[in-house]
Amino acid sequence: MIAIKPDFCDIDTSILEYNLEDYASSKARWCSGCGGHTILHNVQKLCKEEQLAPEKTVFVSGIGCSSRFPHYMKTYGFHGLHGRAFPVASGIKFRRPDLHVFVITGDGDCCSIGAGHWVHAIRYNMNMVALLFDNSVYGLTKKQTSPTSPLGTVTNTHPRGSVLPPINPIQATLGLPNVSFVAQSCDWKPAHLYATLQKAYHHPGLSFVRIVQRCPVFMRDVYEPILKDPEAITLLDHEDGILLEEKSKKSFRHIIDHDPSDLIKAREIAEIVKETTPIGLFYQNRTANKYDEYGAHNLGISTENRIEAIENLMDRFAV
Amino acid sequence: MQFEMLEMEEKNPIKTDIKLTLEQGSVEQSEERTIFWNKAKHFYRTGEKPDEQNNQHCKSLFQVILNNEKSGYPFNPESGSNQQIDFDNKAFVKILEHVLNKNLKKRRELFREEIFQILTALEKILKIDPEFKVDEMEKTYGFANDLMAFDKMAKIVSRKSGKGSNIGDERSKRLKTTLEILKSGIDKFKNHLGTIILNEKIDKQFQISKILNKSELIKSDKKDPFDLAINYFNKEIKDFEMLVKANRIAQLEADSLYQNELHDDYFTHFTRHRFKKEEELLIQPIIIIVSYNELEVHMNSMLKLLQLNAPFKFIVLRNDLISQIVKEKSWEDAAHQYRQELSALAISHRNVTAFQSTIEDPMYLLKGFETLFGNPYPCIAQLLLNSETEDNLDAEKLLKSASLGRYFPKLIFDASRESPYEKMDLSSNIQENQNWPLYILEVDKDNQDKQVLEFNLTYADYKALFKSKRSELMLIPLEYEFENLCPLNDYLELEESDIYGKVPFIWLLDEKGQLRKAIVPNLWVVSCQERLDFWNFLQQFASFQKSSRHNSEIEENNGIPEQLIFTQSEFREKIKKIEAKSVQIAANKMILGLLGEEDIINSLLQTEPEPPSHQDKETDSVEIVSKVESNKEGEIKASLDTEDCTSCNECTDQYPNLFEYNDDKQAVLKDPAKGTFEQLVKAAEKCPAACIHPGAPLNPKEANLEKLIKRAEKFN
Repeated sequence: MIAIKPDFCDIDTSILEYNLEDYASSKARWCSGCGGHTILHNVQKLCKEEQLAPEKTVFVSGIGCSSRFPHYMKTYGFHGLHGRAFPVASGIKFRRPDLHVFVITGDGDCCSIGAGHWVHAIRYNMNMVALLFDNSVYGLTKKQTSPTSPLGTVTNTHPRGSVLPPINPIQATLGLPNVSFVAQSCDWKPAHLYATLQKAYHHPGLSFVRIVQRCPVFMRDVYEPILKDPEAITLLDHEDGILLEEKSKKSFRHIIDHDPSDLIKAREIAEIVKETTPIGLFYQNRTANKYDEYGAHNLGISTENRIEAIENLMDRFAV
Repeated sequence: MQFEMLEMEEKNPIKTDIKLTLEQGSVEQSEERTIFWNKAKHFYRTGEKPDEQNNQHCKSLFQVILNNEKSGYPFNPESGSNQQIDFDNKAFVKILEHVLNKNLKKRRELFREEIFQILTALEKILKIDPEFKVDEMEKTYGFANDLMAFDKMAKIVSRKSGKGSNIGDERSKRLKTTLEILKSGIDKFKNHLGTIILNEKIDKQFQISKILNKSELIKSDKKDPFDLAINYFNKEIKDFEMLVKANRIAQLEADSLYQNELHDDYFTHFTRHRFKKEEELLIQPIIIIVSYNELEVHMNSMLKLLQLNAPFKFIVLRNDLISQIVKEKSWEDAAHQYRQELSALAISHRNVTAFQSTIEDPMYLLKGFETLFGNPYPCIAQLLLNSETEDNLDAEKLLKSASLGRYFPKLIFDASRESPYEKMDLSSNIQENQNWPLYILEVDKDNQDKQVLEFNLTYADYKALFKSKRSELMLIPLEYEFENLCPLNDYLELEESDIYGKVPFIWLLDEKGQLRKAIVPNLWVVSCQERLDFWNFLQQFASFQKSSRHNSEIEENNGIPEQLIFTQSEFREKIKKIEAKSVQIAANKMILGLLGEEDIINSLLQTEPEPPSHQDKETDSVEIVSKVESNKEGEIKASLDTEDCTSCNECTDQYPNLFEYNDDKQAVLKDPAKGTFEQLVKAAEKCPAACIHPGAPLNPKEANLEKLIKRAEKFN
């Protein structure tokens, strides 16, 4: 529920009801079986459940498989520069706090070329949702090593297996200053994914969600075992965390209790990735400083007043 | 007559595998027997036994039957979790903790979430239109102090300028106070789960402060716990009223619905009596745990509390009741148990929820506590605890038989239910529509014939569990048998005129495993009568006739009348259509007839309108249904768990002949016959959510069927 004043925009949004079709644009061109389809569907579902006005919603992306996302949403979108999804989104949010801004980025876009912007976007903590589609491979360039590819992954760039240990995006984000929301989910648990998106949407500040995403074409041998093995996933459970229905909880073998206000514990859990993939809310801090609060000043000032203010300022320097 | 028949049908005795022997005495007349009979009658009237008779070695039937019954412990309150509660006297506290944690916490979390959302919404309203205060501007843009004159800017930049950003002084003031209240209220709100008032002794005995460590504890040592509760409640409710009020105002503000002339007056006089039901449920419940003895002393102040209609939850621990049976000596004791029925008191108070249960039944405790904290009314919960007896009887069985013998029936009276038939729940008592539970035992008669005997277990059987009580009974010698002996449960139902000369008995079991009759003294009959009265009183609330009524309703619904109504309405529609049609036809033909074509008038008088032909569609659908159903019964059909679908396009892209998306963009299986079994198996193998189940092949002639079936096994 967002408090847009009725007289702030011209259409009375309260009487319209949006359906899934109102958010769906052209058919997604991802390979069939790609986890992206699931995420797309759940984001559309979220928009529908929250009744986000399409003209008030923006999806900003960089470059990569995942970054085709804005094309498939019938909202505003910005398919931007490689690695620069965060700065573009921050700019939008800074001057248009009334818009719902979603940042769509991939493992290459965020953790490689865009790593610098990633760090500062977390620190700015603007009220947006950032979704990291992490399939551990550059799919758009037909299987190249990404910063999150597991050690030894055989790709076109590393035909004898990758030689460097991967970045752990969760751990990296938890280590940044002013971090306020870090969660992880996976595309093949739609109930959990949806609940995570919902929680992220309602968080005041930048919610960073890493979605472990299958790549059925290039990384089948990596994801197949995780899909088949129920032990491979660990659910982080807490009443402050992602609330799942009892029915959906039953499909998890491993459930650990984790209080999302505990940053140190969150970092500990983020380290266990080698044995199992923990999904759930790692850390949440509602009171972290938000940089966009400083950008919304002076909105709605008329041109005359603006000129008057500048003139007055200039008058001070008149000789 | 009809009612009687229904009642007969409902008697479903509980069958047991226990085998007992019974030697039947003869009814021969002799002087010796007459003397014994006179003694028996005397014993029945006075309770005085003529000679020392040793029946210590006998057993009550309860002891035999309950040996075979399973216990509810260890207990998992949440299916699927590893949490286990074992039976001891603290078990109920653990279940209480579980319910508080599950119900209360979740409810409060949701409320907190709601408030957080509304907070951000309010902040946004204030932010979009910030006040240009000099201090604040300097704080933010202080680095530019040398360049800008903030005092001047504040004058120039009117905060009422711009399109639609005018919120006015009054509104911004209201928003700010609301924000403050919400912020301070929400911190307080999380602090604890319920407030518990109890004394040191109970705390020590049940380790309540240890187990319920997330709740606030107030010790009421030597003070009136109910006075404490009232004071505490009056203090707390004011803050909560403010919070709810602020939340309501905030909701209106966020939707821009607040109207001064309407809402100002409403909210100045806002008290808890204007709460909605959901808001009432959020009031911090005050749980008062007392023993019955303590309650008796402060009965008056308890009644005052009940009148307040606030969520006071009394948990009354009855550890006095079982030892009372042993002490039961006089007529007064036997006949006036009703004075202690707290549940009856609660029921008569109208808006009070009552719950009573023994601590041996974890499922019912869970259900009861959930009812307790699921409604905003004051509640009285009575828990029957074990107390030490000289017999060293097994606590769990002793408690279980207390409810079986209708001594302490388990009940939930949920005042929040609307329908009077649903308020009372006696379902946890065995055969809740009968006076006494009926059992079937297999009996070897005279070491020859096997025979089945029906027994009603009464309160007297329960009393006979205790050694000292058993010695008050008088055993009848094996070889004796009298016509005027009457089973106790039948005796209790006799008309006044039929009672004369009859003597009631119950069955006991001697050390050889033989069934023996024992005469019951009048004092016991009175107490049984008293318990039965209370039980019938409860049954009336549960509308004892309910089950029979329901049955007849179901029968009606299933039977012919429904069909009749259906066909009637169908025909009415048909008739209407035909009428409309035929009027038109007639009018047309009349016109033609008037124009001079006489034949038409003749034909009009002869023809009948055709029946409408919308039958074709129905037959079609029937055929389709039968096709699907006739697919080799017993074999698994192909299916798809649509709820688990991740919408990844894998199956719909590959096999559009078999799969498609529904309106929620989740896959559904169209018709398995439209594709091959191989396609189904391949789709199942590729599905990341493993939600496709290929079932059994429809076409037995398909190639490689054996291999495919093996591959499909994993997914079925």
